[in-house]
Amino acid sequence: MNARTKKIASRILSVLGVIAFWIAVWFLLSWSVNSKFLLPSPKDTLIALGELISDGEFFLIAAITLGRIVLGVLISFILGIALAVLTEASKAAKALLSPALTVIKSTPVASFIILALLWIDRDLLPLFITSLIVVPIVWSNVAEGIRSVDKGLLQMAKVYRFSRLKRITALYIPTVAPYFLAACKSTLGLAWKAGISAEILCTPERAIGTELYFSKTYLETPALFAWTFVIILLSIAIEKLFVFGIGKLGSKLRVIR
Amino acid sequence: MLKFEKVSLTFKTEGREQHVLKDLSYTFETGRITAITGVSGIGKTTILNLAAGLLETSEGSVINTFAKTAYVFQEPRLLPWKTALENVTCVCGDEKKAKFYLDILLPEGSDKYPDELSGGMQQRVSIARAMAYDAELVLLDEALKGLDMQTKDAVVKTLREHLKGRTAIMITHDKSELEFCDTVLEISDAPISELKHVNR
Repeated sequence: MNARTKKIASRILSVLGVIAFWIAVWFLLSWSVNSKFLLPSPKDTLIALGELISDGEFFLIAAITLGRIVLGVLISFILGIALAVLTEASKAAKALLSPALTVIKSTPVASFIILALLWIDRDLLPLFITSLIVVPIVWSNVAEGIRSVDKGLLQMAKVYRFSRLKRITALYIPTVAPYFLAACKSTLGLAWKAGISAEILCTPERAIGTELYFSKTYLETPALFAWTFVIILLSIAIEKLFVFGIGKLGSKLRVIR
Repeated sequence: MLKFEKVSLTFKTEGREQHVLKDLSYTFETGRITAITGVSGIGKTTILNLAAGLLETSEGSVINTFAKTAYVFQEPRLLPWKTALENVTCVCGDEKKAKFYLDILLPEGSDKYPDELSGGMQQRVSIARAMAYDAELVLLDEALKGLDMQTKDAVVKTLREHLKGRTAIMITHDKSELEFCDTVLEISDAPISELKHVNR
């Protein structure tokens, strides 16, 4: 076994150890509570998860929620970047739109969900709420990235007459990329949680949030735990996949090290 | 032609006005190398920045009729995410040309990124970039500072060859660099209102 394999093995073991510890804590708590309606055991949750998976709708429900939130995140990325470019390019746009950023950032998500329920179709509401969470973060991070472009390099680009396109590709994108990646890291988890919260409140057809809501209503606590477990797994998977993908691309282009 | 016509430049710092240039008029000789000397902080770089169009005058005008201007800044100002070769190609648009100049000025390391090169090597890339741009007006702000003696001789030789027939303005504190300049100007008083010819 070489040093690298040893390191990987010890890391896996330590992660498994931590997981085992918390499962043990969970098991002991559920055993002491002794009510699967209040706190189901890991075994009850696993059985509930098995039942969910065996149901034909499970993957469809997970896929629809996943698709809805990923779509919301992607639209938000485009919108956030566009707003950042607009507000950094125009002082008037900045003066006009910046208060909106402050209002959105300081308003509780629940207030937006309740208000949006009155205005928007319930199937589109999770997408809207996801955007409300993601857009301001991407917007402010990308704007900060644009502001941080090296003034010396901008002067160099001016002297050597870089075209607008060359300025964007050779100067702005590489500078802004790490700021965008930081925004991705912090928004993906939030977007996922906000999207599911919106689904719980607006109960669209076929959604993880809707399933959570009904599990709570019908006191199916093991199912509630099982869905929560699915949410956590999907959240980690999306975040890791996305950040890994962007990080790989960034390091290949040498804009993220 | 590069001409300063009654140029004044005032900066506002902490609410106070600082006059850097006042009524400066001067026409740089076309096709000649002009050196500018003077104490640090007096405004020599400001003259180059005005010539390059990086600064606006407060009064008067700078007339630069050259089609292309190259500028070797005090700092290399290279794109950190591009190799030396890519940095030069990015400006001149011709990889062969970029390679030609880098082969002379940086024989080893054209495939390296700026953070893998020493300060002197980065400066040589910056000089190669200015040469490959093939401009009629070349501005050099202490371009040879930081180069070791051995490299400096080779760079000076190449630069001298390249600047033949071009208009160049070179800021320097190094007396040995003045040797290949046709005209030497000195700035002694601030704000700058005249460029005094130095007899050699």
